[in-house]
Amino acid sequence: MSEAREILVTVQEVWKAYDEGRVPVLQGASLEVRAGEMVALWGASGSGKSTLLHLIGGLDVPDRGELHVCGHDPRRESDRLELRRRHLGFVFQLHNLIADLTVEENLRVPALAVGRPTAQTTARIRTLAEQVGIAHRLKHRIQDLSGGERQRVAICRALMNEPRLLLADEPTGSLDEATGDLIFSLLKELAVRNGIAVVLATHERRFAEACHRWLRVRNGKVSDA
Amino acid sequence: MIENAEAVARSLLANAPAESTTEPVLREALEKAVAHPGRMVRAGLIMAAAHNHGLRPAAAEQLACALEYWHQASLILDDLPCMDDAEQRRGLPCLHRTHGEATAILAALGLINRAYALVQRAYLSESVEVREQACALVESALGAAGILSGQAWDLRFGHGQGAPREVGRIAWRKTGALLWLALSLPLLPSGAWQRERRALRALGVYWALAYQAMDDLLDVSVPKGGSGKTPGRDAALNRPNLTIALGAPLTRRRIERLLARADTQVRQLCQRDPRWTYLADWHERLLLTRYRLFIAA
Repeated sequence: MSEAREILVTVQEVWKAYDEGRVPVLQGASLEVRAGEMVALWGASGSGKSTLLHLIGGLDVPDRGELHVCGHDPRRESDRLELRRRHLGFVFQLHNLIADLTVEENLRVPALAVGRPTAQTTARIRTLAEQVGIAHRLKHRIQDLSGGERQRVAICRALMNEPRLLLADEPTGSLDEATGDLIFSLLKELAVRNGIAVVLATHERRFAEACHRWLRVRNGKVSDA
Repeated sequence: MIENAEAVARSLLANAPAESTTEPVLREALEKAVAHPGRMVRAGLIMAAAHNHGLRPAAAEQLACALEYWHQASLILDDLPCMDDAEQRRGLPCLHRTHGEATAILAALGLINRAYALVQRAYLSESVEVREQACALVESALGAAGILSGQAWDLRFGHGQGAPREVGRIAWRKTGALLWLALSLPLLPSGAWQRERRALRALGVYWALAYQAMDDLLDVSVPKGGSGKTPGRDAALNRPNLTIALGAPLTRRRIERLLARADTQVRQLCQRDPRWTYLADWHERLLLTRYRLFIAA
């Protein structure tokens, strides 16, 4: 990756503990992510990868430390929801889709939240669905889809509002090995094609090594692997 | 979310008051009542609130089931010939049409009683203060001054003036009661409800009124079978309906205004604490309902 690329994420000396400070999770974690870069956070379960993603995504706030995401400070952002809706996309291990809605309706929800015109949304849904191979499933309800198909929909939904940064928390964690490989390849291909930076939390080394750069999360700190 | 939904649907069956010793026809009616739980919006809100505000999973499951049982019971009673005299619910014949009115009433009572027991169990290990707050909330939402008054006003609406304000008052009592419980009950042990009571109440009012207004619009504009319940009942029974009172264009404008106000509440809550982000997910779901009604229909 070119060093000249804009820095999208800066995490500097961030600390986070739970249960009134009794359970320290992050202890001075620092990292940078540049535009269009795919970075893996690799570490064991409970190492703090998800907490770090939540802090970057504004889903939680650090106890102390500096944090800048897409030019905003998620802690002080006057409209945290706007940052989440317009600049970031999330893909979780459990896809968090709405079971009783169709694929198309699930994809429409984030676009409605930012007031995107209907015709534009419909075209975007069609494009993304074709890119991930679920165009034939748009009218099907989520509960009728396989695990791999659901995760494809989750990726599409995360990309609906053309975010600059995608946060993926163990997106292959609930899938079998072959489907996991497919989903990872798809995520990487889409990120590269759309110029989106990705921060991927994973405990699987093969996925970490396949990213542009991978960092190790251990004892609440982030280090080069 | 689907994992939660599937787990809650399983819990609804497991916690249902249909025991082996229950009279067979009543048991069948109870099983039918919980087998088609609909979208489980209230249960979903509770599970999300529990996840974000640290409520024990077992307690969350009990509260989720309780809210869905109350909701289901309110629908069974609402559909009876002495109330709305509906033919279908969720695309299926109403319970009183398949099992008779008496059995439907007994099934509703079975669900209501089980719901109270589940709420009590959910708070067994909490402080006396939390249990008292839960009792007060449940009483105000479901008691004679809450959903029951909403239903009573609903029945007598034909004798009143039918102003939009009156329609809104009834909608809040009827639709808002359970939504208010779903918003507040899971937050009691963490103290989050006490901190944000005013904002959550405002959000609950805007959501309930917007949802009811969309339902009213649906009642007058969707052909039979299109919404899963009997359309045109409000006009036929002279029941409160915002679209009948205001007309469709003004109803649409009111829905937009209510959703915009709800959005402001959600933004402000998320700004104060990111743990409220789950409310944005539910707000966005209402936006989809609006989309379906205004654009996709």
